[in-house]
Amino acid sequence: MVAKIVLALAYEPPTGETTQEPLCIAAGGSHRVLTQRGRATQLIDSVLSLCAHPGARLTILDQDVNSLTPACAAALRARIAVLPALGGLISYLNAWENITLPIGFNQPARLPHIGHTVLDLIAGFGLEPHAMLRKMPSELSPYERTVAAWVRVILESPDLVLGEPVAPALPPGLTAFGFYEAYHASHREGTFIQLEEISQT
Amino acid sequence: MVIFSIRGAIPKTYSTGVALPKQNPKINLDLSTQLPAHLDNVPLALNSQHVSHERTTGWISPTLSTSKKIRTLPSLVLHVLKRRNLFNGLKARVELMVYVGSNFAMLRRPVVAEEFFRQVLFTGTSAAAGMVSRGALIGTLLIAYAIDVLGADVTLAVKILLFVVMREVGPLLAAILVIQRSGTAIATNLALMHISGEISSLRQMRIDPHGLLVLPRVIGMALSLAVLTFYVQIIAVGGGMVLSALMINVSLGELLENFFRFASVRDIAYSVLKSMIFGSAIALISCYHGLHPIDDSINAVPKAAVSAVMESMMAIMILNAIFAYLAFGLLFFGLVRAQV
Repeated sequence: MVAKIVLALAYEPPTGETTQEPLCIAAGGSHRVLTQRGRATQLIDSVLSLCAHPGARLTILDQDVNSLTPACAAALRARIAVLPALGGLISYLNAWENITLPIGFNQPARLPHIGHTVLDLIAGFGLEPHAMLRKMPSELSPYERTVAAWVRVILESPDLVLGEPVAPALPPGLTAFGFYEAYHASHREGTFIQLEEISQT
Repeated sequence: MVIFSIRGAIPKTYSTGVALPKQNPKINLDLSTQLPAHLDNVPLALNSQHVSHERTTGWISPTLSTSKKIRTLPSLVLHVLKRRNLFNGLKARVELMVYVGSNFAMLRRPVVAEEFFRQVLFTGTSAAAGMVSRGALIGTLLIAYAIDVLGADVTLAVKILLFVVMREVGPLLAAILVIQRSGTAIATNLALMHISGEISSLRQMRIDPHGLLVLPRVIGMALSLAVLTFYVQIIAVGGGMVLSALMINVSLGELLENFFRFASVRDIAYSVLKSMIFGSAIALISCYHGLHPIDDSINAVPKAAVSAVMESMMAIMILNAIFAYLAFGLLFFGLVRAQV
């Protein structure tokens, strides 16, 4: 039986560091974190690389990154996903190939069984799936590109999803609300953290 | 705004006292002040001669900051190697080669296999039609020249077809065509992916870019070039034989008889193996330049393609010479002969 996760993400800055504040997010639900400009990218890089700054402490899904073995690190990394702000689609692959790319590379055994899931998810976002899946990324609208990125992440069923700061061209509410509902419908125990950057004046 | 002239009245320092960069031979500035260390790698704002007095923050191009004056040939060579970062580049290329050689099993993944077939389709199938005309032309041209200028008889014509066209010209011609089509396409594609952030997106998805992008391209191009080479050889040799039969008073059957008398399995194996090595080298070099563009601007894309083409051409020439030496003991076009 898998133990229930208590802490999704916790960051303690190095002792004496005054420009950073500690971060502690409980598992489950969706959260919105406001950071200074540039800090969101740093946090995402730290989480994805499972590496904290010298003197800092980073805990992801109840595991301290400083005490991970390579096998544990690989297993932990497989439970984390990033929701890119601009879709992050590969330009020479169509929408279907983009959506199934991580599954096809990391979990190829699941590939034959996710077709209906993809269709249902896209239809749930109000789009016609067959027409959309044949299109290349350059032919997709911004909303379709966003939906493709959402579906790609949901298919992986990660325990922790970090959302990149939303691109200015997209409405701010588009990422948090739409993705959160679909993600939690398929993965109730998962945690979604939407990062936002405060523009400095 | 102050307009600097190339020669003449150029101030030694900016108004805040920051030293100007050292002499750039291209614009012939007579400056000898050492670049402050904290200004290393700070990019130049733009390339204009129009420089404002207000732009005094020390934005100095690293290309203008040369080291000590070059006095001797060894120091010149060392300077070139350091400037072109060849040591690190060579290490990266070798690492890429080792990665490909030790991860063949990754081809079993569906997405990687798709990339492999996509590469074979582009490099092999799409290019085959163009090979027909090129192969026929080169075969007939060489034979026509040999017969008309050298007065070749049956034996010499067949030897030229076998030892020149089949062993050397065929693989080189196919490799050059693949460099032009596939080499530039791969370098351009990967450079654009790097600049647009798609490579970073792959890493975020836990997808190794080398596994998905480099490995299938290298293997696909190696196999495609081997098959293309064989195809070119058939066309070139066939075309040459037909022309020979027309130009000299000999039957096609006699030509074929002589051809198979001189030919051996070693010739075919030599050319196929050499082509596979060519294909691997071209793909590795093109992938390297695509994944490591000189900067993150769109201008880096054509530069990556040009670098890939130039380096690939040099690589296949060097590999060709090495293969000729190893297989037949010939070096420098037969001027040096080794004990085989």
